[in-house]
Amino acid sequence: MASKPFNKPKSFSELVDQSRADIPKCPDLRFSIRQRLSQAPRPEPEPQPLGWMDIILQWGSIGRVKAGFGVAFAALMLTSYMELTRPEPQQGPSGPPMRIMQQLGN
Amino acid sequence: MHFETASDEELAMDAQTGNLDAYDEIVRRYQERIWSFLYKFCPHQSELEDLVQDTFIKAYNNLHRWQPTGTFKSWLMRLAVNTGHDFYRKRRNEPLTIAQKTHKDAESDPLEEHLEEEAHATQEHPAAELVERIMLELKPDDRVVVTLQYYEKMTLQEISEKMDWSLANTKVKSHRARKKLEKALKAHGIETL
Repeated sequence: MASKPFNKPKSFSELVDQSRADIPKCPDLRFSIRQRLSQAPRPEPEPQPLGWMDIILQWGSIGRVKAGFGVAFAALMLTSYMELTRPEPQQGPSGPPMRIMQQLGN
Repeated sequence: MHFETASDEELAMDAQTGNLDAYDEIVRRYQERIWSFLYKFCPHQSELEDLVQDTFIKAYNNLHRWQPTGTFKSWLMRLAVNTGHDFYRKRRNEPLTIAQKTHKDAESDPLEEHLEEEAHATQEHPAAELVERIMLELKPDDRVVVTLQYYEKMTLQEISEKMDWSLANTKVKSHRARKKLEKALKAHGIETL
């Protein structure tokens, strides 16, 4: 095949203009692109940065967890205290328990 | 919605919800423009087809990043510039590019025959081949600047916005690119920009 006559350009701008005519025609790529898109799973969008409302809600949920632990701890303390203050059974095989203060007092 | 009459932004918003018909229309509108733009980074048709497809697929997968405050066309073209830039940067790091190989004598090796075919394809387009040989001497950033300045006729301000470079940095890059281009042009017998 005979090649086209090529007049060497004098400037780069002229060369750029000449080369524009050499760009091949674009085929219709819609089908191939659509095929590739329907085959590949679409990635999940990245999470957006938190707004002030989200931050408050998050703090709220952390607060609820903290409050839950607080209530559980308070209940534990209360039952322990009640256990400690409950009077001991006084009667046993060796008679009533001797109190330390009584011993020191004597 | 009538896709033919819808604006780019309307189509993009529709495509964001996963409507592939709306995205088809976007591809129809811009494939030729992106094809001719990326040709300056990749003059071989088989690779160019993949590159254009990759650009549209990347755009679709990143549609959630596009904000309706800016034009969709500008966002898409920016993606195309980055795709071309990345492609050329990777290709340039390879030891021997196809364009360089086309200058070698081909023997009976099937690979060489294939390369010879590619060489014939470019010999039919001597201007494009000469541009490619000159551009191969430029670094990726320089090639982007030259392409945007000479083919797309963009101002330095527009290039800086498109590439996310500061204006001062763009001026420096442009000056450096022009110097290198002048040197490469002289080596090929072209005296002026």
